[in-house]
Amino acid sequence: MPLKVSVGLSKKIGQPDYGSLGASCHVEYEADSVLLFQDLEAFHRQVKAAFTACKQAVSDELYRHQNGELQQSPDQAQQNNHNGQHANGANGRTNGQRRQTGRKATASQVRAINSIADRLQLDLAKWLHEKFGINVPAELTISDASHAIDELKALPATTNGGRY
Amino acid sequence: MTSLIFEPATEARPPPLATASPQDRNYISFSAIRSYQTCPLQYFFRYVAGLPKETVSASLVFGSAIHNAVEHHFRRLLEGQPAPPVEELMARYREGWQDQSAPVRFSKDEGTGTLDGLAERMLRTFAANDLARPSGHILGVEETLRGSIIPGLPDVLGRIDLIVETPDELVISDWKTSRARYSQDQVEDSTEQLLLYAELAKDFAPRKKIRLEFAVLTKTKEIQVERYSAAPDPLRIDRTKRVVERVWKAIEGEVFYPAPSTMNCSGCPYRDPCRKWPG
Repeated sequence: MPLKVSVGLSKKIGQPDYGSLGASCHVEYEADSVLLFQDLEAFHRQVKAAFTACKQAVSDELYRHQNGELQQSPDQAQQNNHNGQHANGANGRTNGQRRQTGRKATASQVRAINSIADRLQLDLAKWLHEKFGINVPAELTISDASHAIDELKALPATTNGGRY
Repeated sequence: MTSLIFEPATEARPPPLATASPQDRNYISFSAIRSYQTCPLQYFFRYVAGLPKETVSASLVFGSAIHNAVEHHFRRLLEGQPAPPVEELMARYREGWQDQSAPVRFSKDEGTGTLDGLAERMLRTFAANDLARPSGHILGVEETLRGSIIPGLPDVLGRIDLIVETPDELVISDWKTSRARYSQDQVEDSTEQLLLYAELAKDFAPRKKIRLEFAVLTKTKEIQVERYSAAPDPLRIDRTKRVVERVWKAIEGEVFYPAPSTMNCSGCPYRDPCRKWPG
């Protein structure tokens, strides 16, 4: 009996000025259900291969859009960022990793991020990892540090403390 | 190595020797450059011989203590806290006095009581002023930046009071206290320092223009907060760099001599060692 396997992967990365860029890939294929009972290892290999294919496709798509944006004039790029609209339609302030280019956060920003996180009793390393894919605020760029401070300021201490 | 020799009969302290060769410094600050321009021997005492200041003028401590309070105000804003009340700013001001280890030298009409009253009026005026509520993202408060901006010279080190990014520009600000409103010469003078700072911070927001700004809190009967703005002029930046380069070459060449003047000497913390300097 054929088995329908659905595999999908989505990824978003942050962009300057509250923008974001996202891409997703979903595939469906039919597999032999016998694999589930007789060769589980082969089944896992197939699923893993499907995920790897999705991951590669998503990365390629994000890379293509990022490069496309970099080739625009600064004004065009800024226009995109102000509108918060990107080629894939994603927009606004969202979770996900941001592009880590540009000068690193200032000592004042790092100090402020640590101070706000302390006040909120936040697991900063976890929060930074989720939002920016890094573990310490000093690894943020100046621009991302500003976004991080804005986001942290908007977090209520009670709900936030529970989640992070 | 440069050394200073003092007469043992008149100076109980061991003769202060140069603790480091001028060339050993791997950075130079604007205040060091300005110190040399004011008096090369004062520069030597402070930066080469490493002499502790024998006294410090009350106006210097006062300015530094006000600065302490202003720094606290902007840090609170950066951290998403409400602007601190004047009482909190005054507490920071008092801490600024406590941090001072050298004996403070007051002028005849000064005392801690009168200065405290002045500080409160100044901080109240500051807190009510628009300049205390910058629009945009605060990127740095008392931010120390260091970078190689003049080929062949050590890194330039700057401590910038406030860096703010607005949608259109990067604003680099310096806060000062002054007995009176600034003259045009003082404005020009202060801009030089900011020109160097602009070079250190120009990649903070590469697509945006830079505006240099300094705010002066006057110690007058009616406190004023004056704002002066300037745009970085490439010719002036170039001139400032050349001046720094020449000053550095003089320091490297160990050209140290006193530059006596009523204005320089009255507040100098090295008056006694200067008098005993054999030349």
